Amino acid sequence: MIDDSMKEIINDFVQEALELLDTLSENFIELEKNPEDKELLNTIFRAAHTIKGSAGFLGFQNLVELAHSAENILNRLRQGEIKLTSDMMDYLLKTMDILMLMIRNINDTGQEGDFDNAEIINKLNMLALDEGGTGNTAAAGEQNTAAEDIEKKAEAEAQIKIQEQNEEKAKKKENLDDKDSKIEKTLNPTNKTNNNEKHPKRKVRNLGDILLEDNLMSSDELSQILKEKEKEEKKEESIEIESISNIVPPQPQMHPAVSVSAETTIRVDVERLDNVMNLVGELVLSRNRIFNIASKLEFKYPEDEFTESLIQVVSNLNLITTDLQLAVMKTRMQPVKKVFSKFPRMVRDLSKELGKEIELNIAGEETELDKSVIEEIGDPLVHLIRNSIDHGIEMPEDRIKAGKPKAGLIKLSAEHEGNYIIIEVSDDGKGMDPNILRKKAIEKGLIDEKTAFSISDKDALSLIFAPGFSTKDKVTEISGRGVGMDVVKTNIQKLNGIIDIESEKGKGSDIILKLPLTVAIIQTLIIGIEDEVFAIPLNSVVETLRISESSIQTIDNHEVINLRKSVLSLLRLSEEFGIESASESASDGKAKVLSNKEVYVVVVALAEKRIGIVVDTLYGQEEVVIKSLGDYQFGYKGISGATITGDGKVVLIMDIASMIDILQKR
Amino acid sequence: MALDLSMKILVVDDFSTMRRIIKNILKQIGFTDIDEAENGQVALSKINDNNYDLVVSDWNMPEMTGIELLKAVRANEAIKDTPFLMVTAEAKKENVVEAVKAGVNNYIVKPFTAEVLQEKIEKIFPD
Repeated sequence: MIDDSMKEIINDFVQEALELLDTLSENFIELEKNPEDKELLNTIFRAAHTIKGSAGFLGFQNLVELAHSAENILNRLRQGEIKLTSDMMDYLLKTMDILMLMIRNINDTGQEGDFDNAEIINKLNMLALDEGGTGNTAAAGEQNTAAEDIEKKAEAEAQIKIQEQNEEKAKKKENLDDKDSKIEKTLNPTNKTNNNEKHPKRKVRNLGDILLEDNLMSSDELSQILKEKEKEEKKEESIEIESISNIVPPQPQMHPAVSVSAETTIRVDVERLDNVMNLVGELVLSRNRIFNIASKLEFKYPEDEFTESLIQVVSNLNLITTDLQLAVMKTRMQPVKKVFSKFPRMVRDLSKELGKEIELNIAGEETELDKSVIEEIGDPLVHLIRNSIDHGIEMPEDRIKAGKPKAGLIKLSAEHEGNYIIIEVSDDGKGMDPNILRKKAIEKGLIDEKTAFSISDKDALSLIFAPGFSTKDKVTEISGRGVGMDVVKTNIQKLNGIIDIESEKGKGSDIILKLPLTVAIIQTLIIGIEDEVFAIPLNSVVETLRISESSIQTIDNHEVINLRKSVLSLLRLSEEFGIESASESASDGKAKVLSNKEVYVVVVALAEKRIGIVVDTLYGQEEVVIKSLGDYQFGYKGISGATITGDGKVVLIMDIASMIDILQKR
Repeated sequence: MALDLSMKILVVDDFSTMRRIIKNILKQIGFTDIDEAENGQVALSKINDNNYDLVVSDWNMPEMTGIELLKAVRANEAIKDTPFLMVTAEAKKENVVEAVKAGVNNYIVKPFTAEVLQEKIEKIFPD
């Protein structure tokens, strides 16, 4: 019986504990800045306490022990008995890491695993004792053991009591009953009302009664406590009456709002949400179809009353579908905070390690985006920030020489822009030098000399994303593995995102990621090449140009155009997809591709690359649902899937990543 | 001691895992009518709306602690007699004294088993 519900509870525990630890590491960084912040200390203490508490129920003893040691320090910190030191912070953070590992292990294996925490527990306990000075410490220690004694005594006695209770009770009963009734009156006059008003059937005992009965407290002690209580109450009475009347009456009014909010969150399996999203996708397709048919009917039977009502219904359906789609999308949205929250800790640790001073400034962490996107941007951001810490921000003395503030600044921000989220990592470090990047790229054989100096400075900056590129001669432990920035590119590409780099030597660098909010239902630009129709994801479209064929130049057999002083490579899909040119077949007179004719170029971008796709017609924008072609995608590069447009046609969706690949391979 | 298993119980804890654990244990004992609240404020309004036979509340909660919740309950004429079982991580003397003063009916130290919880509840409701 326990098994299934236990598993669920453990799952819940893992989830909640990980969330807690996430915020904890953030809180710790905050705490380092404001070590005296009582509220913060309380929050941190409570989190450790909570994890310990539920771990205890679930029988994760190692976890309990470690959390307990951390809790000890935290408790003394929040009581103001000891002061937070950098050393202590390091160990506390390390403890959080281990806790996180253990909980992940529980998640994976269902068991807490073999962690030997003796050393860190030892260290934590030392720290908890050392800091307060010896005299203080001894006292605190005594207090602790004394308290523990009471606890143990209480528990042990409770245990024995269970066994011995019957006889003892029999002996004591008369005695107690007498005491009870006396004490009851003083202890809690409410007991009387207990018995008549609300719980007429039940007699209720108070803790005082129970402690007496179990011999855990003498009646003298109890009356002492009760006297104290009365005294305190009298003292407080005058104030309390006022404050209670202030606090209590408004509460009933709060009920509706508050009690509703109590039950409003449930955890839902992501698979279910995916399923709903798929269904909405189908609905969008049907909506597009109906919309198309309705407009045709309207054209054919303009005055017909049925057509009119159909149009009304359809536009209503349109609105509802859009809202539904948005609503479903929102269920999958999570604040980007989930990813951002781990960076303060990272920046702290790394800058300490490198002897740099760095401040991290985070903005827009409440910005929400799709869960799948959240999962993918973590790694790229880690690398970008590491890169800023390692290569961007200078050593403090160098910064002072350069006339900059001693502490470097890294800014991490997120904001919405239409259907995109813009994530920006910028630093005020030494910036990047395009020429150094060029030289490096040549040295590493990533690019030949001729190309290196023909590309613009901006394109040279993009070289940092080339696989195997690392500008540091000495490979540091932090970001110099030469794989980092490549990972950034790959992940951003996967998300159909765009990377933009700006950097000024001596002033700093700014890397901008532009990511689509969702992946399944996308806006596309419908284009035509000859008689074939394709869809280009609008996420990737930077702009469309209308140019004359004569402005296309050929360099090394590559067709390029000069776009605002930058060279843009062109790709003709008629060649790539083997679409027969109308002008060649001369089967109709609509030939558009003639040397002096004008053509459209759709400038698309992916990650840091930009290319132009030559097309004949721009039809417009349409919202489509990507359907995988599965096994039918027989070897065609450049197609990511298909969709059904409003007029019922199957249209292929271009895969910009492989288009760029095609062009590069030439 | 025959416990009335039809009692209406409110479990108060800010950590949902803990609420589930306690609910589970209460169910093991045989209780069926169990409600929950995630903080003191919500608990207070629920206690106002529902006539609970027992509140099982965590002591250490943000915003409003278990003791503060209890004090608010005891200060409200309509609900002041609601029996209150405090869940706590430590049973230091000063905690127990504070609990007695606040009018707690009984307390229980985490972690606990169904048997211990049952016993603690039985203590509150003598025959």
